[in-house]
Amino acid sequence: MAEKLLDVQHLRTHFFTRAGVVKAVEDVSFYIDEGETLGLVGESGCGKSVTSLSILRLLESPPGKIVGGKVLFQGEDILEMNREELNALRGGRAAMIFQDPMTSLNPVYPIGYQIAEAVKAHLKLDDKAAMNRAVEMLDRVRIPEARRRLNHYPHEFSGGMRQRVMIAIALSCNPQLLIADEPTTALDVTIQAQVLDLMKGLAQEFRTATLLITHDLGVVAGSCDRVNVMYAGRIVEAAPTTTLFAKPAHPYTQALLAAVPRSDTPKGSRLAAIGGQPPNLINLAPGCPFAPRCPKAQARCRAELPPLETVGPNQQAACFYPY
Amino acid sequence: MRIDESSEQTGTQSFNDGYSINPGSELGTAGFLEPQLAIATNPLETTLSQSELDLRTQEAVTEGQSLSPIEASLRRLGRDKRAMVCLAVIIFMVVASYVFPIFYLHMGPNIQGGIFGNASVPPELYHYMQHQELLNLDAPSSLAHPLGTDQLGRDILARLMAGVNVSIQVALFVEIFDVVLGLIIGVLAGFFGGWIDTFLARFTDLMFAFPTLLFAILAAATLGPAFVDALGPQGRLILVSIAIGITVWPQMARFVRGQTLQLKEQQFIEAARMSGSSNQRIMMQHIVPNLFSIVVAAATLDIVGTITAEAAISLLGLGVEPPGSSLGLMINDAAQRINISLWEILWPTITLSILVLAISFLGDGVNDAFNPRTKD
Ligand SMILES: Nc1ncnc2c1ncn2[C@@H]1O[C@H](COP(=O)(O)OP(=O)(O)OP(=O)(O)O)[C@@H](O)[C@H]1O
Ligand SMILES: [Mg+2]
Repeated sequence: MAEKLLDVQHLRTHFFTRAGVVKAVEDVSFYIDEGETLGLVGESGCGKSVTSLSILRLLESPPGKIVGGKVLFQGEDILEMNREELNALRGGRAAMIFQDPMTSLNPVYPIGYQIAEAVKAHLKLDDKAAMNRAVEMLDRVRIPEARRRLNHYPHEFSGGMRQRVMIAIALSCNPQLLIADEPTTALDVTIQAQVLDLMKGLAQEFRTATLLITHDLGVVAGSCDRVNVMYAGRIVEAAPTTTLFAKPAHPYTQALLAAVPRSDTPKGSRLAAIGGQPPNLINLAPGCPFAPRCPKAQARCRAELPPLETVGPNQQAACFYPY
Repeated sequence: MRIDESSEQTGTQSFNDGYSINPGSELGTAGFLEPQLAIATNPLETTLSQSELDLRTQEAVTEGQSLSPIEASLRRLGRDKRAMVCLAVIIFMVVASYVFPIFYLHMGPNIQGGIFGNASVPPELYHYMQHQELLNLDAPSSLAHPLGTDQLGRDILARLMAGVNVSIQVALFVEIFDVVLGLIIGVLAGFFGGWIDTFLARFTDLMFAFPTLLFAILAAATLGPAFVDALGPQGRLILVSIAIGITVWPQMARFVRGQTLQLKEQQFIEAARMSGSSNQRIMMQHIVPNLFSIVVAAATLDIVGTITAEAAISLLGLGVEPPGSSLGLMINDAAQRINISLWEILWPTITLSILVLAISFLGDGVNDAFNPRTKD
């Protein structure tokens, strides 16, 4: 593959709250190659959204603060960028799609206007050209009768269509990186697959690398080249999708997979829920954060934090006793 | 041409669907919904994907017309009969109270007036609200004075219209004050949060604690003479308006702040920030336009309070002063002589009641139509 488009190194993001310091992202490193789709999965609250927001420096601060690490985008550190560079980057070279399509469009403006605004800001087009671009993008995301729909307001679109409009906005400026934070969670299953397919197809067409954040391993299986699994603010396993599904190394990944219904699951057998709760990110005990819930935990796991190490071809896991 | 294009798209889409999801169920739904929709839309299309279905249903609802949320609210308001009747009454009263005096001055024959009743007085004089006919006190309805005269021989209809003018002016002034201050403080507090919010919210609470009437009475009693000296006869009215304005905006600010807090959590704000919009731009472009509904609804209801407050203050003799006119002042004048002539108190009371009732019913209607939470 080509070179690294995004290279996140030892990213640490903390929230300074009254109750204490929430270490939402601790020492997270990963990369995305050009044109590649990387999945980021994990339970609710493990820091996926915070990671993505940190990458584009969209965290609300206070309480959030990036306390360490580097986010190299085509070799430039986003964390070192000034306002202007950031504004040029966001929505231009790097775009983001949010989770809730129902609130991601402003209800008082027609959608054509909203797409055109995004385009005008980054591609330096005039009004007419921007509107034409809006029509083209609506066509691309398969909104029928795009030109007529330009003047329609968000409430006249269904959730799935709104999410496609969001995709249109995100891709309208030809970004190199698309961050999609649970883009289909709010949609019903039929529409989910449609939107994912569309996103995947367009990302390939535009040669856009995608960071796909989800807690749904089914989504990962369908659309990602590689997967990173997050737990309690850390990456616990990184592997190509096929490897991860065939040979999960970390017990957490194994537990996640066991909790997903598969076509080869025997009928009538129960899905294994992961027992226990994710740890409180304020007072993390020393040792592996998954240890209290891990069936294979040993004394060493509770005392020492396992580093992310290569455990197989292209596969890394943060576990003393993988597989 | 168009049909070809769209059916081609539909084709690829449902192909994709069938690929990624269980094809049977998808076809099942489409097949089930298709007949009803085919009648309403295009009988030529036989396979409809889910998105297409979405589109068709949306279109059936809006009948191909595209309405902004505000237009939709206005349309809802237009369908509310009671609100529309009230609106008509209000418009009638406002227009009539400003326009009718122009004609009224020139209506009717000259009458015998003056202290000795032998001077010829033209209608533009005897229909003026300050004109007195000392020989014609407490007169009943007549051609010259359709609603009669009061205890000083002044034309009641003329004074009534002048009184409504005062109510409207005070209401307008206070509403501008209310909306501007409420919007600025509410948006700033809600948008920035933190110490700005704490400071502004405490300040709002503090101002909210002042009872409108008491505050306005105090202000009028202490500062009234100074304002009259500085600004002339209108001084007292301006003072009362400011005093009422100071006590109504906190309510507006609270509504606005609450709505801003909600809006701030919406992802289009985050998306705007994401695409590099400044705070100022986000507030002006994304927050304020979305506050339209709540501001309109709250302002309409605030007008009721304002008009009654002005009437009450004038009734207590601290607002508009004679020879000026105000509904409250007229009620006050007439109340002392209720056993001598009843109609003198009836006219201003009825006028005030109709005005206040109409505005408050309209306010309810506006609230129902504009406030999403009470949409149904
Ligand atoms: N503003 C904040 N203040 C304090 N803590 C926060 C804040 N935002 C997030 N956190 C904490 O950071 C952690 C990670 O949150 P994050 O939103 O990244 O989870 P997530 O993995 O995206 O979960 P989900 O799947 O539910 O979206 C959570 O434990 C949360 O409590
Ligand atoms: Mg999240």
